[in-house]
Amino acid sequence: MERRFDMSDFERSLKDHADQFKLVPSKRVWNGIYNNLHPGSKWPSISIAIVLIITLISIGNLNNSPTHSNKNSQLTANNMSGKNESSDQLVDNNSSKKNVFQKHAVSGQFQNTNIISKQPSNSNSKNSFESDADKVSQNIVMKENNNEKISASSLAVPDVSKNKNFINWQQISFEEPNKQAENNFSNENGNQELTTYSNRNRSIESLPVIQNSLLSETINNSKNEILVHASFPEFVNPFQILPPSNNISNTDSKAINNTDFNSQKATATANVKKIKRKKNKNVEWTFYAAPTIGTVSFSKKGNTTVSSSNVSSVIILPNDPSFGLKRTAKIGFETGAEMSYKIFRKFSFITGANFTYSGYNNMSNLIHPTFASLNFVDRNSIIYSKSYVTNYGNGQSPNRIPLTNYSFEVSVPVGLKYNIWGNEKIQINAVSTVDPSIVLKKNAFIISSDGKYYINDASLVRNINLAGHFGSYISFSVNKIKWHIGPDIRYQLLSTYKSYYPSKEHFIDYGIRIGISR
Amino acid sequence: MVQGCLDNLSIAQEALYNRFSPRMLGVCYRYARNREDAEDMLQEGFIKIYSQIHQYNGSGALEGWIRKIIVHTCINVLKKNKKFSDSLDLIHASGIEISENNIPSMLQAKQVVECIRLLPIGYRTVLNLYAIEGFSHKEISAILEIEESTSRSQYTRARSLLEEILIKKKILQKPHETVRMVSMSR
Repeated sequence: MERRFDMSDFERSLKDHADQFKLVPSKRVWNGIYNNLHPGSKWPSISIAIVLIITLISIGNLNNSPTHSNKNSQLTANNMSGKNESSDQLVDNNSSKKNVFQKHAVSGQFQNTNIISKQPSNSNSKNSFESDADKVSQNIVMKENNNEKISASSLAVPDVSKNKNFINWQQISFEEPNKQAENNFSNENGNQELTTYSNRNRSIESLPVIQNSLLSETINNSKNEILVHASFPEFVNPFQILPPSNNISNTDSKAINNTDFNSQKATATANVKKIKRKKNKNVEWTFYAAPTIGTVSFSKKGNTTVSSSNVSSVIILPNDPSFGLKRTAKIGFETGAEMSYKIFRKFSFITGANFTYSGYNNMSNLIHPTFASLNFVDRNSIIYSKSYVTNYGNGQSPNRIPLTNYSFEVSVPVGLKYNIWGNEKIQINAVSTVDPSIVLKKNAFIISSDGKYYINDASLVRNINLAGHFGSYISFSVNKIKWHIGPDIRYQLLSTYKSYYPSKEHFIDYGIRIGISR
Repeated sequence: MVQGCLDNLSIAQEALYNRFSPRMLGVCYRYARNREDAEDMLQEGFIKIYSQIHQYNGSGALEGWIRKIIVHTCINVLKKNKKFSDSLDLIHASGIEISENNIPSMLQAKQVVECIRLLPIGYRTVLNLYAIEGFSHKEISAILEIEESTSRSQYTRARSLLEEILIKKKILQKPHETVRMVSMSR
């Protein structure tokens, strides 16, 4: 652009007056510019949103996934069934009825056999062997010359009273434990496969009979009858196979008789304990987030005025009213997880992990770079000063800019929760904790000793601090999720700055905590 | 401050904004239809300033460089919205009547600016670019994508219309030949 020099008086006068014209833009303009230039500055809100989402997903998963006891019961059931995927229906896992079908960790072939079901397989009550609570015999009859293909689910528990059911084995071979075993039942001609049992690791581990005596042993019992027993006193020993004594050699029967039932009992007892293990109702995990408003309080250290008479004259309190310094609150946040353990009727012990972003704004103004100093007091109450170069005034002139003092901390709160009032659905609790914390990120603008400038020196901030929390929350349950909402106050117990800085600063955060637990 | 803006420091950016935004909003206000439009122009202009500040070599005044970007932003916004293309029609301006009531009773700079804003937007744009920003008619024709003669005639009519307004407001004294603004000094 080339400036014209042939401007008339009118144009020149017009230009002069137009150039004098000023308008103060609204804050909306700067906010729009700032958001455009620094889109990343939204990370606190985004991080809170992410934490909330993750928390909700976690709780959703916890609610939807089977409980620990259910898993154990499934595991036990699988142990009982040899993880036989195709024949899960054969097993009645109802331990109260002690109704378990035995599985065979064997592989073998039937010759011209078939299985005849004498009772419906889907009836638990009928499948239970009520006639003998300690010994449950299950008999499967394989009849020859029946080529009808059956499925595993069609295997049924016959009536004990009609205890004349037999398996007609041609060959039963036992494989190594911890190895997949298949039990293929097929007719003699190999035309029709009756069923397939996939037997995996754990099932064979619980087969001491097989492990001890019958490994890789083939029992030839061609066209004879084998009585298969499942004896479950109190708990389940589903893999015990008791061949008829007249068909197995003495050595084999001795091996079977010498089976260590104690170890089986121990294993089964452990499984039962796992099944019976329930969620500890005394422990409760809460995930929470809290938007906060950060403010600050100042105080002079007690020993500075006492130990040295001239200290007070050179130490400037950051909140000295004579300087008219202005500070504004800043929005922060807290988030974390909290575990409460009930120790008494109304008291619970609390601990967990907590992240805190806290701070406030100092109103300053830009100035030409100038020297400013800070006075410090050492342990011997000797005052010394440190000079800085700064371009931040104390905000007494127009065009103020905010300088943010903040700290981002991770802490481990330890405290107590007291149940003030409530029932199962709604409760009011008071919580008080002490939070030892580590400062992860920090920044500090400190007023100079003459009160005229702000100095940026984050190294003065403590790396480890201590804060106190107090809050009162209303807890209520909605759809199995327990919500905790209430006011929360956090007070920084130790000064923000290191001990040689002669003034104490304490962050105070006021927030609304929102937490969820199961 | 410029270095801080180059380093993308928000403090420096805000300082730059605080320093120049009032005057630049005054510039935008002369081009815009209303204050909201002016603020939108200002926002867009400052975003350009921060994104292009590395092009500022420090040889000239920073304010001049910023003003140049702001003015171009205002023109681009007007062109985008086609707000002045229709009003560049000469016939459109012929029927304008300036009544005493239209003239705001304000003082000095704001008074003059408000009088300028009473002009149709096409007149106003040419007047702003020629009389206040100091562009030549050739430059204006290139910027606004109009004929150079159109720019001249637009300016002539805009000036006469503005003089009429200023005389009615008693900011200018008759006769036109000895145009002199009165009570301009603070």
